[in-house]
Amino acid sequence: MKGIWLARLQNLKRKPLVLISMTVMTVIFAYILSGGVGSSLTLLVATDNTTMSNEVLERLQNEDDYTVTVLTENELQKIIKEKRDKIGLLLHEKTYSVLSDTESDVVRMLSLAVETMYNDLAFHDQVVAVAGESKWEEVEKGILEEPSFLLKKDSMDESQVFRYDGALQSLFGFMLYFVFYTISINVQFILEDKRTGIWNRLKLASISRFQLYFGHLSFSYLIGLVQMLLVIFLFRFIIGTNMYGGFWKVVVISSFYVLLVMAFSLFIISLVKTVSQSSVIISLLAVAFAMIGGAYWPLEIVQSDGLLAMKWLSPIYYGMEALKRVTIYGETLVGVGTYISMMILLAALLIVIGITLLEKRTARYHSSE
Amino acid sequence: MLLSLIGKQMKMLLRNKQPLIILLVMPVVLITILSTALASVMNSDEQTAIQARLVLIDESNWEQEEASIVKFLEEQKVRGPALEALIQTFESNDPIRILEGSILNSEDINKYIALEKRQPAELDNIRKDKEIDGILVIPTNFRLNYIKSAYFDEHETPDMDLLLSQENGIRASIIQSVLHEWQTGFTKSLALTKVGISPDEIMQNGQTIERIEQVLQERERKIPASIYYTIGMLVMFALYIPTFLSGFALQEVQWKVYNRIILAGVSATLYAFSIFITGMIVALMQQVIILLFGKFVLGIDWIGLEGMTVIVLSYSLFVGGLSALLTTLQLRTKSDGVANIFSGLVVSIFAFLGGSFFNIGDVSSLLATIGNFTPNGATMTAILTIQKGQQLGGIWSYMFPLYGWFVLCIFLSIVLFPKRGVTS
Repeated sequence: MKGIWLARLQNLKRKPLVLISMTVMTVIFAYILSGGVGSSLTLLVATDNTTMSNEVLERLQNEDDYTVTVLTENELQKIIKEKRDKIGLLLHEKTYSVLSDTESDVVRMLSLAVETMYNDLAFHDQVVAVAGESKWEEVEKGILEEPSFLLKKDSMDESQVFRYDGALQSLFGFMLYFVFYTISINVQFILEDKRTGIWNRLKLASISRFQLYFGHLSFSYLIGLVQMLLVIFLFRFIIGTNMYGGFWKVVVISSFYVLLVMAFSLFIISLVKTVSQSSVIISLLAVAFAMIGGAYWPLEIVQSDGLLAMKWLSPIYYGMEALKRVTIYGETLVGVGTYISMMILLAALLIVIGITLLEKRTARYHSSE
Repeated sequence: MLLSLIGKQMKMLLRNKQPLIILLVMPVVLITILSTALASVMNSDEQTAIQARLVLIDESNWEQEEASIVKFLEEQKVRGPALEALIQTFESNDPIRILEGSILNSEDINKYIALEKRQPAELDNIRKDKEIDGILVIPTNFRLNYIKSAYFDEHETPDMDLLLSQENGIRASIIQSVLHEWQTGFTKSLALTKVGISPDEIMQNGQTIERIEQVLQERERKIPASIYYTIGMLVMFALYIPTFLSGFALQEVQWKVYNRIILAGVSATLYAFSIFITGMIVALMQQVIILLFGKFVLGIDWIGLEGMTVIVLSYSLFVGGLSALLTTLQLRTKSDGVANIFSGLVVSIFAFLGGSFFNIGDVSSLLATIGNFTPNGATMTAILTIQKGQQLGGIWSYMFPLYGWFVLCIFLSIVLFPKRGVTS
């Protein structure tokens, strides 16, 4: 078994590029997509130069969430026609329009924000018109300091804390998605070893089946875990992502997620013949799992019940839910016990099926030779 | 000779089930799933689909509290007709009455929030109900305390509990923002009253802002989810063609078929050229099939035939070039490592950046710009531009990166192709 570890380590030392590049990619993508850089929404804005629209523009420019480019109305119309990913905003005195190709949540949120700005400004103008600038200051103070009544927000589920953190959602989502690839690449060695005949030689050597599989799988597991932990540590301690005191819980859940993904990849390679087949299938499944498991978008926007029911098939879903619950919602590890035990159960099941299939196929392979 | 080589490649593709499944079945399945699942996110006419369920639990009501309010007013030395009038005003300004009667009942809000009234005893059960997105709990003496605090400064600011479901962040945030507006409205009028301005005067004259829907010209239209994902999957899955073709080529080398072909007098260049042509034909067929699927099954009306032809042909050319390049690299390195990395990683990342999975511009403008330089992203943007109803002239800025990639593939294939034969 030590020999297997040494061989794998040697292999890794000779070809470290894939592993390193995958890890780096994971970090870069998770970082950019979770809003680390360049996440502010670029808006193309045109106004009709009335006081009102200019004031709204000024407010937009002061918000950190938006990067504003000011254009004339004609330029704006022209650019919106030509470009795909741009969102345009046309501000008039009493009306506004949002120009975009698709009607997404972003567009709806933007409309709400713009509407609030207009209303606040109109309110201000009205107060000033009726009572003068000095009264406005008093009114503003009253609004800020003396609310009419308070809305105390809390979570419906008593074991949770009410919080919304979209950035952490996408960080976890993309991390789980990319780690899916990196881990499964670690398991493909079995196919490579089979092709080159090393697998059979190992079987002939004085080494038990258990040692053979355990040696290989434990090594793959450790590499996968190191990769995942590297990403998590990087985000927690270098980038400084707030995990709401759930850091160790995140580590524990990740270790089970790595196990599940490894088991899954083992299952896949027990079904296919070549490395290229397995990478195509794994890459397609990773995308499909990310979609149905809620890594790209929160699952609540999905309307189709059939698709929602499919989330239980996705390993990413278990990881995603458990991670979100222990951090954002402040649940305990016991609280997400269902997800963790499902991960362990599925992992065990897939490892058993995978190894059985691998053994069967090799047996047949021998007889045909 | 060329024709028989192409024929051989096509047969290899057709006789393996796996390429057919991945090149045709997968995209069709994904298109169907994605365009139905995400229709509500992208199609503006289906906005109402997201309706939040709010439960209102009122531990008292106006009638119950009226007596204690009257008593309180009497203690404040308000009597006779003045008291009656005041009670009237308070009743009509009761925040909960306004919330129930005017705000949540209005047509605009009704679309987004469905209100339900329940008894306080049920609270514990309702909290566990996964179907409910928010609960507003009004405590017993809220109305009295509100009047005391707002009009007489005699009580600390009253509060109420808003319990929100975490299962459904978007719906919860709709509820939250509507209730927040409601609360701000009262705070504003309170602040106005305190400085001696009549809230009615301000609120009634206040102009309301109107959102005007984007004006589209006659030929223009918005992109619905069905078109978006058909194109997204189309450009993504064409990228798997080179993997299969180069995989076959490597197999031929391993099985010594390649050497036999060379021995038969076929030049290595012709062999590479046949892969280029095959890749192009397969890509063209795949794209036409997917587009026809969109037309007949999803009912998409493809417009701008001329532009579509130019784009689809150009993309097919590129896929052919990429097939030649991947084959070249496989034969040179004598391993399937390159194609593995390509199909496992590069395709996913390109598809991701190009916006095949979701509109990446919503998440990061930087990534969207990078995405437009990937061959698939550029093609997707070009097709979407045509489908939006733009003229052919609008697509060239996207076609240039695509042609750039094509030239690069061809150039590298010519330079790198092993001309002296390959041994396994």
